Amino acid sequence: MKKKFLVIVAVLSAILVSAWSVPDYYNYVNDFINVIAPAEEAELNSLAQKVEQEKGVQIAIVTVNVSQDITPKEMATELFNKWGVGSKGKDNGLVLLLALDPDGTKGGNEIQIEVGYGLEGILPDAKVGRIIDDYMISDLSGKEYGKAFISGVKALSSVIYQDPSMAPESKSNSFMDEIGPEIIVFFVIALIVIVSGSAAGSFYTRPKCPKCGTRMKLENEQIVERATYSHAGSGIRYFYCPKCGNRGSKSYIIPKKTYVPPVIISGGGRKGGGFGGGFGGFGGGSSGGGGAGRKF
Amino acid sequence: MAKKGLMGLWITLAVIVVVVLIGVFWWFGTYNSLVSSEESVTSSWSEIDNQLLRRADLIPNLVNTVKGFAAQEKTVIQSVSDARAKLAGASSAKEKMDASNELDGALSRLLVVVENYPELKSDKVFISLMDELSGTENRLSVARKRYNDSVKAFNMQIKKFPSSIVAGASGFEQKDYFEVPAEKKETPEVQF
Repeated sequence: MKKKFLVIVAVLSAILVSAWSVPDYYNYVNDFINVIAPAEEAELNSLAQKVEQEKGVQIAIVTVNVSQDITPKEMATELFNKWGVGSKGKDNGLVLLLALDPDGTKGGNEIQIEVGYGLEGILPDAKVGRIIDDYMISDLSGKEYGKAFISGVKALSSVIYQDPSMAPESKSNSFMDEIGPEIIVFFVIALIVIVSGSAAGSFYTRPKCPKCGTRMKLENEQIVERATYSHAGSGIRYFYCPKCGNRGSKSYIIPKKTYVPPVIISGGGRKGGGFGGGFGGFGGGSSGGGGAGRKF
Repeated sequence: MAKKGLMGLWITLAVIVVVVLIGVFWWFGTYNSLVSSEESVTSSWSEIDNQLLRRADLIPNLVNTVKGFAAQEKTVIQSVSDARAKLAGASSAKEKMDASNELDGALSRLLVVVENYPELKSDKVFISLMDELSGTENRLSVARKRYNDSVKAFNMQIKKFPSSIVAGASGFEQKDYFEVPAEKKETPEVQF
C-alpha cells in the first residue's frame, strides 16, 4: 500500500517537474522579474557582448522566481540546454541564474552559475563557488542584484581572458553532420517519385511508319509552348522511319508542372550574426550541470 | 503485341525492385538507428561512470577534511568510506547503481553532521570540496536523466512495431533504468 502511494507521489512529482516551462530569451540579460536597473542591464549586455565578440563565450544572465516544481539548479541546466548558450560543439557558455523567493517559503533566494562543458576546464566548480563568495554574495545579500551580476561577470570574464585558447567563434558546421539516415531514405524516395513523375511525361509510343509498318525513330523534338504551374504546354516530335526514310510528326502535351516544396534542413547552427553587432541569439551549446551555487 | 506485354512485365519488375529497395533501405535505416540509440545509451552511461569516478576521487579528501574538524563522528565518516569502497569495487552497471545510491545516503548523513561544526563549514578547503562535490552531484543527476531518457527512447524503439521486428531479429535487448530510491530524493532535514 505504502509502495503504491510512493509510486503515485513519484509519478505526480515527475509531472510537476515538467510543469515548469522554459521561457524564451530576449537578450544576454533576461530580467524576467525586473530586479536589475536599466542602466545596469545595459552595462551587463555590453559586457556579455564584448566577451562573445572577443572570446566567443556566451553569457546568459537570468532572473526568475523560485519555482515549487524544480530547483534553481535544475532551472539553470534546463535553460542552458534549451537556449543552447555557447556555441555548438565548443559548449562555451555560462548561465548566471538568480532565483528569488520573496515569501521565503520555497527554500530561499539562490544564485546559480552553470558552466558549459567547454569551460569546465578553466572554471571548475570550486573556482566558480569562490567567485560567488568573493565577488557576488555580499551585493546579493544587500539586494544589489545588478551590481552583483556586473562584478560576477567581470570576475568570470577575467578568468576567460587569461586563457589564450579561447577564441571567437568561427562557423564550421558541416552540412553532412546534420543528415540522418531517415533523411537519406526520404531523399531516395523523393528522387524516385520525382524521376518517375517526370519520366511519365516523357513516355510515349513511337508511331509506326504508315508505309512499311516498322516503328519510327525520334529525329527531333520541339517545344511549342512551355508548361507552367497553371497550364499544360505542348510540343512536336519529328520521327523518321529507319527502313524507308519516311518522315512524320506528332504533337504531344507537356503536363502541368507540379510544385515540389523545397526541403529545408534546419540545423542547430547560429542564428545569424545579429544586426549591427547586437545580440544574435545563442548558438546551441550544452552543459552537464557543472558550476556552483549559493543560497543567501 | 508481344512487345507491349514485355513492357508491362518490365514495369511490374521495376515496381517490385523499387518496393524491395524501399524495404531494404527501411531495414538498414531502422537497424542503424537502433545501433545509434544503443550507442547513445552506452555513451550516456559512460558519463555517469565518469561522474561516479570523480565523486569517488573527491571523497578521501572530504573525509580527511571532516576528520580534521570532527574526528569524533566516526560512524558517519566510516559509512562514507565504506560506501565509497563498495562503489570502487562495483563492476556491473547494476552494482554501480546500488553502490552509488548507498553513497548518496551516507553523504547526506555526513552533511547533516557537518551542520554542527561551524568552523568546518567556513573552512576554505571544505567549501571548495563541497563545491566540487555538489557540482559532481548535479552533473550526476543530469547524466542520470540523460541516461534514463536514452534508455527510454531505446526501449521504446525495440518494443514498438514495426522497428521491433528488426530489433528482435538482430538481438537487441532492453536496458535498465538508473532508478533513485524514493526516500533519497528528499533533501536531508537539518536537526537542531
